[in-house]
Amino acid sequence: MRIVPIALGSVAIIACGAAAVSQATTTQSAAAAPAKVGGAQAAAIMKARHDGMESMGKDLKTLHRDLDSDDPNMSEVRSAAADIYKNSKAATNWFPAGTGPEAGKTAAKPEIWQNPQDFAVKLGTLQHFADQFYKAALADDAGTLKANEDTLSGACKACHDKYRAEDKH
Amino acid sequence: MQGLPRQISGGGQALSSAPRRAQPVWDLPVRIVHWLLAALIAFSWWSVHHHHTDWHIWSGCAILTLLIFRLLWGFAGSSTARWASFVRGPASVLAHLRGKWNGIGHTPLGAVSVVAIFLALTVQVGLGLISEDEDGIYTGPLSGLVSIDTSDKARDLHALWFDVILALILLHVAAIVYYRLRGRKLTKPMITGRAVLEPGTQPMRPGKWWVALICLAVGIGVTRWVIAGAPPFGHWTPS
Repeated sequence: MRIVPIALGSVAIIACGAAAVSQATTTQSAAAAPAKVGGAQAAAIMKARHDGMESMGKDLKTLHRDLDSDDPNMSEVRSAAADIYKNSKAATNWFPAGTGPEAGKTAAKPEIWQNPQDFAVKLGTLQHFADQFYKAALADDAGTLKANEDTLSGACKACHDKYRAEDKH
Repeated sequence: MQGLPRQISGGGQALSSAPRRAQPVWDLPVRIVHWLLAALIAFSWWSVHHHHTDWHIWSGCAILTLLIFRLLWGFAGSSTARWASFVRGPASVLAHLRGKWNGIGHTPLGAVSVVAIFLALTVQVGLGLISEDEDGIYTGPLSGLVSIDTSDKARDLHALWFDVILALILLHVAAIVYYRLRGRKLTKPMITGRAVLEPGTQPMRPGKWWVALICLAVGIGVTRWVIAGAPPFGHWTPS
């Protein structure tokens, strides 16, 4: 049953729109792409970013409910883990220069582009844990998933504390 | 929330010139609950706006404990703490507004405000318990009992409802200022527990300290149960 989550994840990526970004292959790539974007391209990336973040938020909420229950719906868990994994990878290309608050309504703080190294490290951490989490989901390893749920959301939190504006986007 | 108008020595009582001793009007638990609530409400507001949602949740749990304690103390506490001593009908409120009210504790009108603040805080805590943050990182202890959709709606309502609480607090403070301008100091008795009473006014009948401890133990116990994720004991952690 691996196909379902992967397919869902792929759909999510494709749905991000044409301008969004091929998937990154390494966790080491810089978070902020060097080229500055603008106009429709910036808008498309910001939309993809917003949708991807929202999707991951929903995934965490789903995981929270499933993994707190004694009888988790593992198919839901796999889909959510796959979606977080795919989006965390895609996020490598979500923050090129020119997609900050100056480009439009966003919860992305300017600090992201002032601390590209730190931002990349934090994103790399998320990608690492998302990868591990996804593998545990594919292995139906509920114990590991429960144990690592907080680590995963902690990786989201580490970045959000510093780089996510409080305002709604 | 207990610092509402009560009958104490008024500035206009020129004839009663003999010095009178301050007598108990608010017991220690009532005062502690009042000031802890004020502090925790302020802290809750601050923490959630400064990326300390985990502290915000704990603060809400502490408020839950206080509300349960205060509810019970309102049945078993000192005379001025008891719901039955200050929750009155509209007729009493009208009589009070016409100046025909004499006693200690909450005035009939003040009591309306106390009950409103108590209920508003209960609603707020209830909404908070089933809320989760927008990003799915923080979850209220009971959020797992409701759907994602309900939880998200509860959070939005939780944010809006704070304005209701804020309005009630402003009204409360405005009433204190109003009384102060008329020469009645209400804040000091809420700190010291004592006020100079009109001659012939019955002072507070104190509650028993061990009853207060039982009420507190129940408050902590119920809160602990809620934190555990309620009915069958979930596996809640604050983040």
